[in-house]
Amino acid sequence: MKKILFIEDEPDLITLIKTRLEANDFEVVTAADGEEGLKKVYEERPSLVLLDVIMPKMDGFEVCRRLKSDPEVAGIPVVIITASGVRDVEKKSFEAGAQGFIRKPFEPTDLLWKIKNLTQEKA
Amino acid sequence: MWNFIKRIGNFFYFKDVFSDEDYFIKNLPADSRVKKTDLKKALDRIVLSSLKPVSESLCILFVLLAIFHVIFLPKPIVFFLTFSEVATAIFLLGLRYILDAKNVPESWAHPIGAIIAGFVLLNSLMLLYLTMEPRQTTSLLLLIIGAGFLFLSSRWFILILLATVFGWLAIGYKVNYTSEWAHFGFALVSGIVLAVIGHVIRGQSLSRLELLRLEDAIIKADLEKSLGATEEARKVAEVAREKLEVAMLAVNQSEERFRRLSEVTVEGIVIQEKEKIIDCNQALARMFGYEAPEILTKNILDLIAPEFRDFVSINILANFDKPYEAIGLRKDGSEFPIEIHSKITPNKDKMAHVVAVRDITERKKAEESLKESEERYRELFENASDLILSFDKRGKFLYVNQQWLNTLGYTKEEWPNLTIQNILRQDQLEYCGGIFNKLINGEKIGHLETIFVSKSGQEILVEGSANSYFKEEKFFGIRGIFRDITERKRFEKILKEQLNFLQRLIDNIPNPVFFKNMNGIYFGLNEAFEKFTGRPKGQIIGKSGYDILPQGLAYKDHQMDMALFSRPGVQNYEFCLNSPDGKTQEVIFNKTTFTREDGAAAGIVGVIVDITRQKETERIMTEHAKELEILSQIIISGNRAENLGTLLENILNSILVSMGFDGGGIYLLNEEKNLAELKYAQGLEGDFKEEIKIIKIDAPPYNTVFINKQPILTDNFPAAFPEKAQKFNFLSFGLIPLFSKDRVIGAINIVSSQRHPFSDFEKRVFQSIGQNLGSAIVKMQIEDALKISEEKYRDLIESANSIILRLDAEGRITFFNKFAQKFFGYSEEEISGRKMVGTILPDIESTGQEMEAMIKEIGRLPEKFLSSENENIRRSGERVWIAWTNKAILDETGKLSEILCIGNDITERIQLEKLKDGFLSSVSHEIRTPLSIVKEGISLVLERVIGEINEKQNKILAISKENVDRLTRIINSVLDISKIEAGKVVIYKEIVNINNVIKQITATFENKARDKGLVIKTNVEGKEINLAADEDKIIQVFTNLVGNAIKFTEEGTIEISAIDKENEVECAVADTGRGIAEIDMPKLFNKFQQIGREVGPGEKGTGLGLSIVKGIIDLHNGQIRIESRLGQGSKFIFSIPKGGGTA
Repeated sequence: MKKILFIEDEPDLITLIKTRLEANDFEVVTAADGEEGLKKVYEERPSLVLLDVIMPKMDGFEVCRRLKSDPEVAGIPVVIITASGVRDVEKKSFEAGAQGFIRKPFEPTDLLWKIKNLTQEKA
Repeated sequence: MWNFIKRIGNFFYFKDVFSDEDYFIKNLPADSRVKKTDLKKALDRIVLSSLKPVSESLCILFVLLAIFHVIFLPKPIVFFLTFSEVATAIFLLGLRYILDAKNVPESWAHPIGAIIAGFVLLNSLMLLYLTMEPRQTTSLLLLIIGAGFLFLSSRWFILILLATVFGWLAIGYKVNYTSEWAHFGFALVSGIVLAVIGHVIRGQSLSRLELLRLEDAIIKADLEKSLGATEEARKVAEVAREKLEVAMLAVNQSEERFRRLSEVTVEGIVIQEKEKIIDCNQALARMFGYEAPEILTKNILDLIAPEFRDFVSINILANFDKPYEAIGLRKDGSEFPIEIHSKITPNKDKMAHVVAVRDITERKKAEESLKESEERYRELFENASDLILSFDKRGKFLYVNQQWLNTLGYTKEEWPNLTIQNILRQDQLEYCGGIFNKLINGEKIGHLETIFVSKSGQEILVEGSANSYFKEEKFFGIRGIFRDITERKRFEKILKEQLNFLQRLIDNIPNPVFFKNMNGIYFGLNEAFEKFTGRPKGQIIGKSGYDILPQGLAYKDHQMDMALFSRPGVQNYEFCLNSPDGKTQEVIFNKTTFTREDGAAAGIVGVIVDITRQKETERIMTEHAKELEILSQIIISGNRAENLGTLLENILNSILVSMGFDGGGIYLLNEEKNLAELKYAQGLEGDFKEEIKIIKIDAPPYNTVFINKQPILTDNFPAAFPEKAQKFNFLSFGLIPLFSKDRVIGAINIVSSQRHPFSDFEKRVFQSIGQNLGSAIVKMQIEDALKISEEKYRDLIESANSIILRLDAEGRITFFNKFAQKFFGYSEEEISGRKMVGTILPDIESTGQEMEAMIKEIGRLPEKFLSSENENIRRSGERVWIAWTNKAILDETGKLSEILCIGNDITERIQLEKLKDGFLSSVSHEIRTPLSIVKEGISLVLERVIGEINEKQNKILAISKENVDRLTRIINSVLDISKIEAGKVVIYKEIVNINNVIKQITATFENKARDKGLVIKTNVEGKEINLAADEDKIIQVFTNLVGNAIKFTEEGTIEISAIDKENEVECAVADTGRGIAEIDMPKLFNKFQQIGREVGPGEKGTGLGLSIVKGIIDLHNGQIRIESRLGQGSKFIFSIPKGGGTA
């Protein structure tokens, strides 16, 4: 069973997405802010990190950059999921090293397809 | 002893033996006068003389031997020997007789001797051989000794010697050797030695003796010869002496005679001996200007001119026996021609030259003058250009000259065989024959014209004279001198033709031409002159000007002729005359003198040119020029006017001045009131002025002008208008309509107290003034009106509550209204002429736009910049936003001349908008997050992830989800549009392949379209269409347009197309949907504007799609338009520059 680390400051969304991912045979661990999320990456060694951008303490881009700069965990694919309306956000995500980008509100199929794709690739 | 051996050696020396000369002859002394051959002959003769006794004695000896041998010798040998000895004796006897009888040559002596010796030797050897008795060798010994004495030639002697020795040796070789043989061999050798010695001694002595004898004989012969010669000489000398004496006597006599003769002759005679004159006569001395003694001892050549000396010298020495000519030299150095005749004469015992000299000066002169005259005549004849000939009574030519030959083409060899009949043309023979008969009878023919025929058959016309001449009173022949006049005749013909031609030519000249002589009498004229005078040619020729010309003209003509004769050359003058039909005619006389060959004036030739027409034209031209001058003056003065008042003043002034009137005025029409008002007047009296200030245009006489458009011009006003006469105190009056485009807009009035007859010219001028000034006045009226309205607008602009300014093409401010001055804080003076950028416009706006470039863009794309919003800057540095309306004003060539800008302060609005943008951006995030939670929640339920739901629940949740999606779309669109409007959207340009974009769009919408039963068609022209643009944005444009198309189309097709146009790409999305009403079209791109929104299934629109499309296309500097009809579908067409334009 693939482990997904979902770093998100909105507990409601965590609940809903966790439900969906678990329904699709993923194990989901969560973190409520960037710092915690980064810590969880080392602890949990997930197959994929689903990462919000606008978060307290450390934003998603920073988390992604740090993750990707450490060779130990750089191999973990990162999908950024954000509600930001700024145009550059997608570009910035990829610049930070993410492998996927999802804009909120998202299509559930889109989310699942991207996650499955990236985790399979990994395996 | 040694010498002896040497001599023996010499003797045997082969060279001597076999050389041509024998030893003895060789010893002949070199200086001997005896010839070697003579000596040889003498020696041979000695041998020859000894042969007779030798052969006699030997003959006897052999007879005796034969007898002896018969007696004593044994028989076998005897017979043979005796026979041989007898034969030898007979031979010798025979030889003895031959030698006696015949005169045998000396050269045979030695050979004969050798033969004798040979016979003897043969007999001896035979005896020796037969007997084999060595003692018999003695006979050989004897033979050798005998031979030694006999031969006087060593050659022959040695021959015999050798024969003997070899014979002996041969026999000795045969015999048995005994001592006796050696003994007799030795004896033989001794004998040989003796024989040789004897031979030499005898030979030498004999040869010496013979030599002496021969020398003696020579001397003797010489002596005898000289004796004979002396005697001969003596006899000859004797005879000579006698002859000499006789000659001397004769010479002396002849000399005496000659001397006497020479003294009386006129010829100069001189005798020269050895380059010296030894005698001369008086005549010679006189001839050369010397005294006779002076001449003696001179050389005859001294009397000859230097250049002739060689010639004379040679002639004298060569004894040239004919007289010849030379030049003599007198004592005084003068030269004169002489004739010389010289002869060699013995004078006493020496030879002398007698030279006769004759002075031939006179003869020479005579000769030369004769020669000269002869040559002159010959030359005259030969070189005469006339044909000179003479012939005898039968016609045979006796003489012809060179010219005759040249002309008739005969050679010098041919003419002597010709007769006069040969060269006359056939038909001339009779005529000439008659003439020749007359000549023969002694008549003289002064002039004769006939025709010769040349050798080549060419006819030659000749004229000349002929006369007969007589020798010894008998007719001898006819002489003639003729001249070739063929050419002259030809020229005469040509001249005649030319004269004829000239007459024709002159006749055809349209101007009258005439010729007059010095007395003014006409002798030539042409047809035009006949017409000019109105008289036929016959009445003119031979008459003077007074006879044929009108009085005045004749007089003038005569005067001018006189003047021309006094100063020959060319003369021109004009004359005005009344022609027969009563009209005046202006003419120019062109006359020139013509001269005779000697240069004296012979007469006058003249041409008359009618210049009536030119004069008329000239007059008209002058009038036109004057008319133009007046008009131009009026126009110039009008142009100087700044307003209508001054214009009218200027016009009227210049008319009055240039046309000469007292006063006048200008009326302008007031159509509404049917009146004409006097707008300007000058020089009119007060009362009158009041009276005519306003006139009714339909009342007479004014209606003529204003209604009938005709001028009134009269020089007798009271007569023309009696009803007005009392009030109007003047004679001349004019009222001329002023026209502007065929419409009467007023009139010019002129008056004069004087009578002013209006000439045609003046009438025309007034007409022109009327025609030309009306427009100027109307224009000035309009200008005045414009000025007034301009003033009004200026006030408006100045006091407007908007910024109003004008820029020139370079972006410099040329006008700046009061509001603008107040707003920006610059006065008009401060800002005028300065560029907008750098004063009220920042170099770069806070949005990053470069203003300088934008100003240029306004000129280039005026439509795009009809309105713009810019950040401006006040003098205080405060930045303000102004919405501008820009009007580009182009000149005639379409180039930007200036820009008119009207601006309003929108700073507050811009600030509000900024606030709104920030608000929207931050709000969007806050809305999206809960939205996504709602959506995800509903989705999870709908997808039964958290458990089954019933149909009703499902339906309601589906609607909820759809509206969540719609809300999402609205938020996205609002965000997009607000960003576009806020200018926050940055375009990321890259190369976009339109083909791919359309493929992608088609794939995206394929399912959606199929669900509705629609077909998507694509139509892309060109293989690959690329352009620089933001791909995401272009995709968004297509997405919105295609999405709309599907949404509003119920059946049919959606067509996506793209066309590659040189600089841009034109794309279109067309549908077969319900279409768009025309009134809705302008609203299409408005925000939140939804056209034809219907309640029904499917996605609900946001009302922002097309606004976004337009926004994106604008960002790409593109254009979008719609072609649509209600019920027939719509077509959205947009074009984007390939380069993407400047953002």
